[in-house]
Amino acid sequence: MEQSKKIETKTDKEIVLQIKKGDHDLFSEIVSRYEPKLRRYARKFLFKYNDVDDLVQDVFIKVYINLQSFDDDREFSPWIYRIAHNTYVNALKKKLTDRIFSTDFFDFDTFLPHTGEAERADKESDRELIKKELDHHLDSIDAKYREILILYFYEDMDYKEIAQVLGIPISTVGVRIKRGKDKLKELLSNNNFIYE
Amino acid sequence: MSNLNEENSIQGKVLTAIKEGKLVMKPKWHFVLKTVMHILVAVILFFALIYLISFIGLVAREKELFKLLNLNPRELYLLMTSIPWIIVILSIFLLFTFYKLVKEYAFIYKKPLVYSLSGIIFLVVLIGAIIQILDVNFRFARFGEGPRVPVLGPMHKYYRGDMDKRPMMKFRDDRRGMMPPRELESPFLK
Repeated sequence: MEQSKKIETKTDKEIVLQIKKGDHDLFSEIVSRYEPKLRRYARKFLFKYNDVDDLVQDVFIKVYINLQSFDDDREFSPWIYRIAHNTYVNALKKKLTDRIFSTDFFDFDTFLPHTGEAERADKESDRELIKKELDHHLDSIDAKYREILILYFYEDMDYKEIAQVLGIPISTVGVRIKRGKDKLKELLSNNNFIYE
Repeated sequence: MSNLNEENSIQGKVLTAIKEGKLVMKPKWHFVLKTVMHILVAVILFFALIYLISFIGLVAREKELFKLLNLNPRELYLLMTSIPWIIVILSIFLLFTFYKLVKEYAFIYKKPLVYSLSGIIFLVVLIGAIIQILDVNFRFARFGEGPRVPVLGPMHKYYRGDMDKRPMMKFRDDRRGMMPPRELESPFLK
């Protein structure tokens, strides 16, 4: 009991460090901490995908295999989400059921510098409203914007963390969130629903 | 029943695979070696890029291409046919390959593409210029000139040699009066 209490109070990084040193059983703690989050991320991002469990399992397998490459000076959460992002995007590419967003060389969002899209805190009530509406309209939003909205609203990541997960400039995160919200507003106004 | 559920859960499956030795963590040295190889390839690409740019500079100097920079259609035509376009395209390709290789690193992807690409181009031009200043005799750009050097030897002969000997030039009526190569020091190029 005391042992499990101790594990619960440990940070992800502390646990990972122990696993790297050879305490492999502790990996179950990482799985139990991240499984619900990664499953939610996958379900919302790949809503047409049936084998979400297999994908989440793939993510954990990759995480375990590559754990020694994790830089202990960095945060663990963006690292595991980056692996999940790559796995999910590859799954999307294989399925070809969605418009593949550009993770390739030329993505105009990342090409030019953007200004005026600094991170700003949405009101809690606004966030809840957006989350609720987002749930209904996720399938109508391009994968490029859908993913970033999921990370921002559902996974509660800040711009810096999202930038690390997606490997894009922070200013681009702001631009994509804004465009994603604009798209959502457009969809809502088409349904005669107005929000500010 | 509960045990069965646990075994079938992701957690159960992954842990079982770890315990049975089916899932093995890659050792640290694997990633260190991978990073070293990555850096090595990036450095080789970078110097290959500088080499090609220096080579273009050398061709431009030997063929006196800068003197052809006017609006005379004939000289403009000569200029266009004398520029080593394949090497220019190859340099651009190397530049983008190099960018793709270093894009994984935070100090590159954190910047908008236009900044990071400009930074790389600036670095290439800067190092190229330094080499140009220090290497007066173009020894770096001349690397590989020789009849027995694969790929580079024919490349030097083709672009720096007599233009009339180029296969494409054989069928041109106006090849008379085509610039002869500027004093070629290497007999191999003649």
